[in-house]
Amino acid sequence: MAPEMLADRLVLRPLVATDLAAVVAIDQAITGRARRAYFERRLAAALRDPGGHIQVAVADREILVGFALAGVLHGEFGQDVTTVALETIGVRPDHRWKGAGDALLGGLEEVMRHKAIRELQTQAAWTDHELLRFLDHHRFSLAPRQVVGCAVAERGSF
Amino acid sequence: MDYRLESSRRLHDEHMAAEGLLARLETTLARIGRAPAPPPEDQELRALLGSLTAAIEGEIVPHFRFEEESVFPALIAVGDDAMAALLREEHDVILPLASRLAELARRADFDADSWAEFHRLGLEFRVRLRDHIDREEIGLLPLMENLLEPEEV
Repeated sequence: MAPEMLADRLVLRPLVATDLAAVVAIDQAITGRARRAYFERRLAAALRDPGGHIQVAVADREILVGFALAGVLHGEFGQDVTTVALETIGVRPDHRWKGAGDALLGGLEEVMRHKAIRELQTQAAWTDHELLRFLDHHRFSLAPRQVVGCAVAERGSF
Repeated sequence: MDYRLESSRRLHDEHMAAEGLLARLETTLARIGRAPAPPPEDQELRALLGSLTAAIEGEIVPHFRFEEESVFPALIAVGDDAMAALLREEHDVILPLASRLAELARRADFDADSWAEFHRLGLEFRVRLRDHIDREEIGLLPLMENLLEPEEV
């Protein structure tokens, strides 16, 4: 019998209020800070406006190992169509690059299909290389009008 | 979007006004071109220069200051510092551009060199500010709506 693969154990499900402590812990493992207030307020916003928010979670043997929070933008400024903006995504460091991030984005896309939304966008710091690599892996591309600059005097040698 | 916070609505309205100004700037720069310098009696340009100076000094600079002094600290206090860092970097690029543009616009008597500079900076200002506005519309305002309370901004 083949050994059970981690990716096969991952279960995608909606993120629920009782996941709050686990979400804070995963985020703290990534950022080094406990941002309970951030997630409490984000949860309150989702409860206030359920249609404007999407939350998905991925669990391994019922233990939360990743989450993604996104907002629905209804034809906002500069946008002709409804889009989804990925706000925060977090995966336990010991589960990275093992399928949890794929599952989370797949879950978001599934919700978007139900809502007939075709575009997912996000913003990332130019220097957040690991996140950019993850986004690139998932076929995100730079939006138009992206401007990057560099002061010549500060540029390091190649 | 229906804004819960008065501050979000105000920032959004200011973005709309700035977009209108950027559209005028784009049209005028395209009409005149990089050279030769426009004649002093170009009334459309004179009106634009007045609007541009007023908007930079009376709206855009205070808009950035409000974000840096009120909005960003409130977001950081709740735990989101990434958006503030990203937008601050953009402010640091846009503000000197805006300041130089306003300086040139106030003088208004363009020779070939000063017009070429105004034209180049105007195009850069348009691209950078529009990109910045987009980022605030899809990133900052939803974040404020999600995370902040009216008494915090």
